Amino acid sequence: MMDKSVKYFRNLLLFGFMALLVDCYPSEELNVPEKDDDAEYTELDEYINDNFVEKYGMVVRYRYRDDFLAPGQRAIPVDVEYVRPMLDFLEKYWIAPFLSVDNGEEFFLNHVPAEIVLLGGPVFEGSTQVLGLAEAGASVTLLDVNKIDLEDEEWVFRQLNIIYHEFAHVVHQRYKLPSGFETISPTGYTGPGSWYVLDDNDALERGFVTPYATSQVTEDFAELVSFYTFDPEFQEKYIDQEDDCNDPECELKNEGKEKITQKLASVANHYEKVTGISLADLRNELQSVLEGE
Amino acid sequence: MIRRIYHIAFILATIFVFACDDSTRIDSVEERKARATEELVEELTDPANGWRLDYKPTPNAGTFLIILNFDDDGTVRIQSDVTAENGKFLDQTISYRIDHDLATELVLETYGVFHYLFELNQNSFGAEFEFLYQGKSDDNLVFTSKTDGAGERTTLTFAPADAGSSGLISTAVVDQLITGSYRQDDLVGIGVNASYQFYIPDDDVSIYGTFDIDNRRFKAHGAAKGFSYEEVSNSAESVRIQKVYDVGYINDEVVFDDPISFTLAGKDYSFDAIGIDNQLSVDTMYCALDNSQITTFDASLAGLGSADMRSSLYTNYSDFFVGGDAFYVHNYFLVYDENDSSLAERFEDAFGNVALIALIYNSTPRGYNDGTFTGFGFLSLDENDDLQWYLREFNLIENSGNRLELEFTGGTFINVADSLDQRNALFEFTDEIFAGGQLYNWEILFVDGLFEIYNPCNDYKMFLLDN
Repeated sequence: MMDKSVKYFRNLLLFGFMALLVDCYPSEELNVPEKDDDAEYTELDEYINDNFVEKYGMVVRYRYRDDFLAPGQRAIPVDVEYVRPMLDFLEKYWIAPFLSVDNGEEFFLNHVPAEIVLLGGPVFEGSTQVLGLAEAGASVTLLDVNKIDLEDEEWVFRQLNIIYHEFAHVVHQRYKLPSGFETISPTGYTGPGSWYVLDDNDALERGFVTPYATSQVTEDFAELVSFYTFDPEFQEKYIDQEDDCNDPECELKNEGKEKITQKLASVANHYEKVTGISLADLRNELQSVLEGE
Repeated sequence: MIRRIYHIAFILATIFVFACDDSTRIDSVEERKARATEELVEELTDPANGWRLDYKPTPNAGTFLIILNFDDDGTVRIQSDVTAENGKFLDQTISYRIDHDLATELVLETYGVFHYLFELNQNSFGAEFEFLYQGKSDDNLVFTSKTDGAGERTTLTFAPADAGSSGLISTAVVDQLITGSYRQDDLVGIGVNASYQFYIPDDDVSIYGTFDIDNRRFKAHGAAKGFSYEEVSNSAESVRIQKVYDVGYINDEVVFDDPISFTLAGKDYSFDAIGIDNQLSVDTMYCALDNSQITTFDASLAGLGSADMRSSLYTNYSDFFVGGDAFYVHNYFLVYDENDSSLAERFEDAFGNVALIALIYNSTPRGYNDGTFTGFGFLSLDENDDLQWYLREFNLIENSGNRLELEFTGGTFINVADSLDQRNALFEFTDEIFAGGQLYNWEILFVDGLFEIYNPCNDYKMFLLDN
């Protein structure tokens, strides 16, 4: 039988070891501060905080970090003088149209992407120029911001395409695709690695608004929503049947347009049903902003 | 037994006290990062006049003079000698961050001069804006590029600037040199070249060279006795140099990394800097169809003395169209009119699936069975991806230095049946593009074998690649 005092000292020793082990490691925190937290808080940061973070829960990142890009990709940061004009652009051409339509405000506030990343130029991958970065709705990366020019229709449409496309992903992620959407042009899909062999006419004949839309069904959905919303000539380019059609190429185009018409009806119904938003109203709002320029 | 336990307890208590001494424990990762950041910011903000960087982004570029003044509020004032974008990079304040991904890094996180250089030449220039801190060497801070591949990392040495360093930044010299180019604006990512003749009156010697303004390089073509085109092109005493030198623009001088040296008529010549003064515009006539202006300067060649410097389309040596045969091609998009608008759409309308333009001298196109051919034209692809040739013959009247004089004939090589419309288009385009029959050429210094071709009679230009 062990002596009581021996037992006491043995426990003391054990405690001593434990204390030694625990106390000599400094406390480690799991929530390592964001890198941006070290940056000086400027008037611009305050504007972003008041008008994007506080209002919509959306962080706008304009200070360059290489984790914005995949390994092997390179891009330049945005020029700080173009950040505020770009934010104004987003408010006018993206946020305001949503807030103006019935049920739009509620939808926007509940589904807004958590992060908007601004980059100054295109993204290069080796000698190839990447046209957009797919972030599947959680984060939206806008490229070529240093070229901002509201008079440049090509630039405006490219930005609107990205922002409306990415935001459309949220809908199918939360509420699934419209029932039967993927069966409307089932043989037209290519794949993520081969869509770029098509040109615009090839895509249209297959029933898609762009070659990229053929890459997979979710991209088809997002491209259709985006083009329908921003493209002023959507009706003529993708819906209206060509009259006096008597050659195979024209017939194929008309068949493609018919498929796009079916898909658009399906998507519009789906939006109305799951979000309460009328895509037609959203389009009208954006088009009146564009026409006002 | 109890005594032994007492001893052990005493030792443990001692270890406990010392082991937990803050001076011996290892700091957390975050603490170490914070300390590294603080130390580097202290270093960066220390020099009263900031840091001088003689920045050479790649071995194939000249030197950019940059002065950096860091503030501990996360901003850095950058003064540079880059005049692009309406001078915004001459003096600009942007934000920086110290980061710790691969090592301690300095990241310039909003757009400035380094990013402008990064995007030059379709993003292939080789500049950078993320730097890995390598430590101090004497009073200098040494960084390497984060984004260059291993083995080719640019080393950047920040040296403490003195009070006069920012005064060395020269912008006038770039603005002056660029006036010597026939083309003032960038075209498809190819910057501006400006060719000059340096005439040393005492020796009656002309030296010819071309500046690549953006990449800060200079190609010395050659030297010869004489001043006028006729004298130089007919001179029996000339020397070929055809060597590229890196340059910097410092204190209103063009400074060469290595001296330009050659021997002509038994005399050795060498100079390593050019000072320029008294810029003038002078009318000249390169072509009966057109009046042009050239720029002249009073120049001083360090080591040689004064010289008359004048912009010159002509240089007395070129690697274009030398040898017995030549075959140059490029994308058909790269033919431009006097407004720098591509003629591509017109070519497409005329030739359908057009792919390339071609300039051929004493060479044999595939399918041509009549010896060699000399001409210019278009290559397109038929539905089976077979090559279709639409070439029109020309006679080479003169080939001197970088100047060609040619005259188109009625001869053709067209291997497509029923192509009267295309034949007519070929004649129309060649008459238009080569109006006046004179061409000057310059090699693009950052792409091997790529030449810019210019017609002074109508301001048309194109790019051709040695095949």
